[in-house]
Order: sequence, then structure tokens, then C-alpha cells
Amino acid sequence: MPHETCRIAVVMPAYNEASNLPHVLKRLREVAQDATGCLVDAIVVDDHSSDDTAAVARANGAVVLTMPFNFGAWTAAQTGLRYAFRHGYDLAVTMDSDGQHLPESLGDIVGPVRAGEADVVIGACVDRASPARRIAWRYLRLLSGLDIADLTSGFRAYSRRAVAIVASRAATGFDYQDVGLLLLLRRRRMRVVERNVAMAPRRDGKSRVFASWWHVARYMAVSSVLSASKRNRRKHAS
Amino acid sequence: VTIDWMLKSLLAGLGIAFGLGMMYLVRRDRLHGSYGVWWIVMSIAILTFGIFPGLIDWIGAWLGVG
Repeated sequence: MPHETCRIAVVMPAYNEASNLPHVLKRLREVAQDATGCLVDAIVVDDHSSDDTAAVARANGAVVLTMPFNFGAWTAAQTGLRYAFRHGYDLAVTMDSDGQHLPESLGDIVGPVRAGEADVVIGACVDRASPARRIAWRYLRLLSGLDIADLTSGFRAYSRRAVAIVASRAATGFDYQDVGLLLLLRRRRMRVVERNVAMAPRRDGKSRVFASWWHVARYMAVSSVLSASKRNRRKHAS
Repeated sequence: VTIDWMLKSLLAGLGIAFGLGMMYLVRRDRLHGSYGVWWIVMSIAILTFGIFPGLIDWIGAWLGVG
């Protein structure tokens, strides 16, 4: 049991994840405190699911925030991050509720933030990407000038300062939580680092962003416009 | 320099300026990324039809309205 008073909010956007949540929340309860040395609260943001995501999350000890419409993963995550900011958490972590991100890895991504070495730590798992996704990442890296290997990972730890930025209006309305958000963090001079973590295959269901070719095309178009528009004028490290 | 050439470069310049303007608005958070995409598609259309006005007739014929 932790003796320190640090408190972490683990924010999990969830859309029809009633079947995956019990396992994820159970693992979180079992390992999160030992992995991080902090008190950990699970904040499940139910993105207007049509199954019993909210009830299941509540029954498994999570704080549940319910969205009135289906807003998409980033807006749901931002809702949870705003909750974390308002309730004075020292740190916030965003994590998928489908079991892809492992609570065992929390220590790895929380560590650099607690040590004051970084404002944002991305749990990166480049190995999971298909060749097509790797090409897409390389292209967006080149276009945006972001020096981040795993652009799309939603497994991230944010310091309180970083939470204040991503919870602010400047971060509202992004379609996705990757390029736009990372460029905003760079502009605000947040130190963003990556830590390699293992990820599990999805237990059930499939990706919301890469659901169809139409979604992929839209994602690439929006990300390209953001990357090219918000690119740094001067070339320097993020 | 023919009038045709002048018109084409004017329209091409307009398309480029339009696209750059949209990117500036996205950069300053005055235009949402996904709307930015559509406006930039429009600027590419201005550029393309400006340089190759014959394309309109070709598409018209293809659609059967030419």
C-alpha cells in the first residue's frame, strides 16, 4: 500500500465495452497502486454506449461519467481529464478500456512524470502497427515535425500542468487525440517522451478510428492538414 | 504573353492563395481541422480547373450534361 499522498486518475473512455471492462478494472485494482506507488482511481467515461458499460463500470468500483451523445474517444477522454483536473489529481493517465493497455505498465509511464523528467509520457508500442500504419506514422511525423514514434497511442500519463492544457478549450473539438493534441503540447513547450510498453491484442471488438477505409482516409486528411498547418517555422526538437 | 496564359496564372495564384489562407486559419485555430480539409480540397479544385479549364467540358461530357 502506498504511503505517499499522490493521487492518479486513470481516465478510460468507453463505448460499448461492458464485456471488457470487468477484467480491465479488476487488473487495475490489483496492480495499479503497487505499480505507481500512488492512490489510483478509475474514471470511466461512458461515451453514450448502448450496452451496460456504465452499470458494469460502477459495479467494478469506477467513477462513471456519462456523455449525453456519442462524442468520440477524444472528447470522452477530455471529459475525464477535466474531471481529474477539477478534483485535484496530481497526475492523469488515459487508457483504453478494451484491455489493450496493461495496468502493469502504469509504473513505466507514470514514473518520468513523477520524477519531474517529463510532462507527458506516451506508452509506445510500435511493434503492434501494421506496415501500412507505419508508413502513415512516418508520413505524419515528416509532415508535422513531431519526433514521436507512436503517434496514435492513447496510453499516456499527463502531469498536472499538462492536464491543465489538454483539459482547456484549446484542446476542445479535436477529432482525434493524436496529432492535433501533440502539436498543441509542443506549442506549449511540454516535454513529451515515450516509454516502450507491451500491449495486448484487443480482447473484443475493433478499433474505432481504423474502422473502415473511409475513416482512414478522413483521419489521414485531417491529420495532414493539421500537421502541415501547425508545423514549427523554425526547426528544433519538440 | 497571351490573355489565356494570364488568366490561367491568375486563377492558379488564387487557388494557391486560397489554400494557404485556409492553412493559416487552421494554424491560428480559427478553422476546425476537418473543415480545413474541405476548403483545401476546394482550393485544389480552383487550381486544377484554373489551369485546365477544358476539364469542365470533359467532366460534363462524361456525366452526359456537356
